[in-house]
Amino acid sequence: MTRSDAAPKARGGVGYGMDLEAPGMLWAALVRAPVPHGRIVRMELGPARRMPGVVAVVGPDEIRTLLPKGALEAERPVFPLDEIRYRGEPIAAVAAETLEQARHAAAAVVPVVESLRTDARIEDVFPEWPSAAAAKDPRVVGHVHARHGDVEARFRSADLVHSETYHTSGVHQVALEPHACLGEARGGKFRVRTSTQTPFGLREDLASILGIFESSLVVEGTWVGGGFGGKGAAFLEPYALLLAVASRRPVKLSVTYAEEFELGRTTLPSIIRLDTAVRGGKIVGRRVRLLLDTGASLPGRDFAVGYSIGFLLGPYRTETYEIEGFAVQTNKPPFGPHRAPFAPQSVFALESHIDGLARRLGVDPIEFRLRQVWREGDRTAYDQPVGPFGLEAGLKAAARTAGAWRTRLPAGHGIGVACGFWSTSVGAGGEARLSLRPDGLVILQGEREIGNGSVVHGLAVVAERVLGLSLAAIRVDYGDTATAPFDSGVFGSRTLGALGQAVERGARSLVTILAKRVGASEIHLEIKSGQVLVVAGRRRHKLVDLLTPTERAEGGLVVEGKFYGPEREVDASRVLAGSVYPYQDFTGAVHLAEVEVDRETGHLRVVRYAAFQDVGTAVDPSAVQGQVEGGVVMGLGAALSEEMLWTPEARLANPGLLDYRLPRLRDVPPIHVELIEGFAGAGPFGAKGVGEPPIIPVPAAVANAVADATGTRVFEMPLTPERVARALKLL
Amino acid sequence: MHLDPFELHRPESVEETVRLARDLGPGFDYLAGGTDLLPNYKMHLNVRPHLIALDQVRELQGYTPERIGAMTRLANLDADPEIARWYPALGEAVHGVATPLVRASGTVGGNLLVETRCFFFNQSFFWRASLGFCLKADGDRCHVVPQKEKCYATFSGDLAPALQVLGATVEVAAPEGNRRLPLDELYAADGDGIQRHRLGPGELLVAVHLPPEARRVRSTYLKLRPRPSFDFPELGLAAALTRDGDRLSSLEVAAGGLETYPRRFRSITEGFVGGTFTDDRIRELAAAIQAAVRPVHNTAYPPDYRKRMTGVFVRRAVRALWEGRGAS
Ligand SMILES: Cc1cc2nc3c(=O)[nH]c(=O)nc-3n(C[C@H](O)[C@H](O)[C@H](O)COP(=O)(O)OP(=O)(O)OC[C@H]3O[C@@H](n4cnc5c(N)ncnc54)[C@H](O)[C@@H]3O)c2cc1C
Ligand code: SF4
Repeated sequence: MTRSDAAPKARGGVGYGMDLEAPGMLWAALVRAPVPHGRIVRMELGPARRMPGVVAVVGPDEIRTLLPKGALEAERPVFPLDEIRYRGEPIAAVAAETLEQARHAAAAVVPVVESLRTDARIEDVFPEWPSAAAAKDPRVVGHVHARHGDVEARFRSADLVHSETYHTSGVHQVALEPHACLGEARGGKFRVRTSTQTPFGLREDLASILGIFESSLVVEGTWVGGGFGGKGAAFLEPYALLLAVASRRPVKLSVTYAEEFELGRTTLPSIIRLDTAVRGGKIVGRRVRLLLDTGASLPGRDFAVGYSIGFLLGPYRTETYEIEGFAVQTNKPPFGPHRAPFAPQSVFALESHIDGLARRLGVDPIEFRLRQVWREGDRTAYDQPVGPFGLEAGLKAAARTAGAWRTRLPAGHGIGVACGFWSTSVGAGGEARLSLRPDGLVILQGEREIGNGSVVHGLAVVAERVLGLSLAAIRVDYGDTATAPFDSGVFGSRTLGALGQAVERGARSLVTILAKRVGASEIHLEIKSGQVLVVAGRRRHKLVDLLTPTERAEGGLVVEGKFYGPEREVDASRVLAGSVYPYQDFTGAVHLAEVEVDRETGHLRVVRYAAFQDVGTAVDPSAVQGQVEGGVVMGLGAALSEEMLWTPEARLANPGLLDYRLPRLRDVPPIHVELIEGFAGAGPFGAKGVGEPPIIPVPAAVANAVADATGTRVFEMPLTPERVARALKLL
Repeated sequence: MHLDPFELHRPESVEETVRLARDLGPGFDYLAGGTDLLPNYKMHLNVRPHLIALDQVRELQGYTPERIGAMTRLANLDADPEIARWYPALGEAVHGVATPLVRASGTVGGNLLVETRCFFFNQSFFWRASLGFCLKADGDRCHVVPQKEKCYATFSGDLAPALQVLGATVEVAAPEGNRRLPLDELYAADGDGIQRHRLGPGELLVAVHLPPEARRVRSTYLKLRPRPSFDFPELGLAAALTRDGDRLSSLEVAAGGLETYPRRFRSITEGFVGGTFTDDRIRELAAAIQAAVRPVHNTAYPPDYRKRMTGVFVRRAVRALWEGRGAS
């Protein structure tokens, strides 16, 4: 199937954030904090204001003078009012006629700062593993504690207790397009055009930061050059809008790639302790402890811990468990979502651990997992019933492939398996407006395509399936937050799964209305000579003849499709502190990696790779395949070489694409993708969201392959040659 | 990241070039492919107001297997099967430089004179300003070895060690006339990462010459780097030898990516030439070279790892050559 955005993108015909322009536009640059933690004693903006081309300079004072009162009370004001919390945090901003002038002026602002103690890493905050009392430490911004059953007794009577500690690293989304936006402010009305995955969420966020009503602000998304979670919450927009107020001109703000890295909002490190009690070959008790670096984030980050722990418990039946996790504030930029937030890191630890346990027991790792994985009807740790789940089927398929690989496995190679699970997010729901016109269908909605095709293509495919109308006669239109109906955003693998259901519902109501009008029980649509026909058995009606005069005047039959998801529940009595989250559906992913280990250098070569992806229903198989391949490649980066390196002074040492090492195409092995259908998910036609699941098991699969090849486990990701070499005791 | 304005000069002969260089004094840089210089300029690293572009200078263009003009693009060498056949080490080194895009612009001269690299140096202006500038650009201390007043930036060109073991010499033009010197002498063994070569003010690298013996040795180049598709050398190990029955009749080993200059291990390899060569001897050689190198902590991999890998790579390269097979 050809995507409608393919040709315009290939021809350079779509506009990204970087392409934004407006008449009279100024360019902006940020003044960034020179210390990771401190107070601004003095900051003179006057000299920068007098520099050539400079039109406006704004700092903390301008929040007070230029914005409504609410802006001072925002949870996170435009600029920090008291403390600088991370190195490079924007503390002022400049707008000038040219980008060079803006950057020069920004560099001329030299604040006098008083430095405060820096906590660069989790270990700086907690040199020892914290006790429950740590929940009261001001640097703990999230705490979750839950338990079920007599864990202690199970550990006491276990045949074997397997205990390990894992470390994971910071990983960046690396969307090809850095953040960019253009803000305008006139007469108390604000408009921002920006590259965003969540226009409506951003509107809410910005309204609170600027102290304005949501109705005073319009967010218009540009085409998004990759998001991967990094283009959600407010990022550059508040600075551009404040400068627009100060200068009374449109202001464009974009960042360099170094700034993109240094401003962060991505996956941060974690330390994970896992203890598992086994009796009779089965897991009978689990202890999971987590320290999650959340950077300079504010209190109320329980969800980060809750999600992580869900992945750390994994898709395994657990009779008894105790879990406790802390979100730890450090002087790094705040964490932010990153394709399958918290999952690849957590699953690296869990699946390495499970694999090691199986090996210790002398059981085949796939067989061992098959003994404990959820099946439909099982209960999760928080007592939610498990729905249709293709993980077992995935493991069985993987076992066949692994068997075939093993028959011709060269010396020095190993095969690793890992599984992961995900749940399609509903978000806060979503809506779409469908207008069936005499010449075709137009779906108006509020999300911009972020690259995977789920918006411009996926939503059209859903309508095609319901209506029977060919794709060529379906157009997905975009509207800004003033014109489009609400939707929660392109995240959580929800676009097709949740917004797609809004489209599905809208399409079904079109069918119902038209069936009634032609007096049939079943109809479908066709397009012939540019005319939409309503087909009921042998009868064909021109749509145009079925429209009321009002509809004709309005251009067609218009319906709203809405989807706000069913409420799911967990047993909250098991949760002693913080909160945990129910799943919408259960999406499984099983991966196999064959890895060659250079036992003298620690270098790894992933020789081949296979992914077995539970998709519910593959609405568009080639698009799903692309998602799975992309997820694997991204996961390989995190497994092998991608890592944000901070110095003890909380300085990011590798803010660039030379030293932050993404895989290049030549580093990627052949990837075999197998789609597992038949386990219905929460999306239309039983589809499951698959944007995120394919990245999840990758680091674990690679680590398990290394263990298979060498008998040695690496407890830290990424598995750089140096780490592998140390694990192999070469150093 | 933006380039500051500069004035571009485009001479057409060596004579014109060195004259221009003399007239401009210290305020210029030569611009070859620009793949090293311009990224550094964008980070405001030692920016000069004048650039002398070498792309029109006649004598620097073109190559034969004996004489490689300084402006020869790496892509041209990479595409030439003769180079790989005559000089395997050179072919492998060229092929391992960066990416096809960089090789299309990057030149041999630029590669030999590539700026030394350091974690604390190859960073944006904001980054360096917030840490405090270092000796190599704008500052007065070293963040790697703070006790010393010396720069330890690492030589990270791929071609130099390969050409060293092949016995290359270089042709240099100066206002006073041309001179020829062994490639080793282009670099200062006792120097530092700032004064990374021994060219005099305004001196121009014109060409690299390879002696006839270079075709008779077995040679290879092994590169240690995070991604096999990219990345500067964390260790670039070149070896060349000739075998006469069980006797080793010549041996050269050189390494880049470890210290401030590409280092040839003459004083060590000499001791192995002439005698019979065995696996034990190969191990001794590897251990001796490993013990001699002094990497510091300013690249992606830590020094203990690079040092250890030096031994591994020497062993692999020399053993493969000795046994008459490719090492990479
Ligand atoms: C992304 C990236 C990856 C890279 N990876 C590698 C790598 O893996 N291995 C590697 O070796 N290099 C690498 N490089 C560095 C560089 O691209 C190569 O070394 C290249 O060969 C440099 O050649 P150039 O012609 O572009 O040099 P330029 O940038 O033009 O010049 C480099 C230096 O040499 C001087 N110079 C150039 N020619 C002469 C001359 N004839 N006489 C006197 N001085 C001269 C210049 O003044 C300058 O100081 C990489 C660069 C980039 C951007
Ligand atoms: S080694 Fe020291 S002086 Fe040299 S570039 Fe690095 S920090 Fe600067």
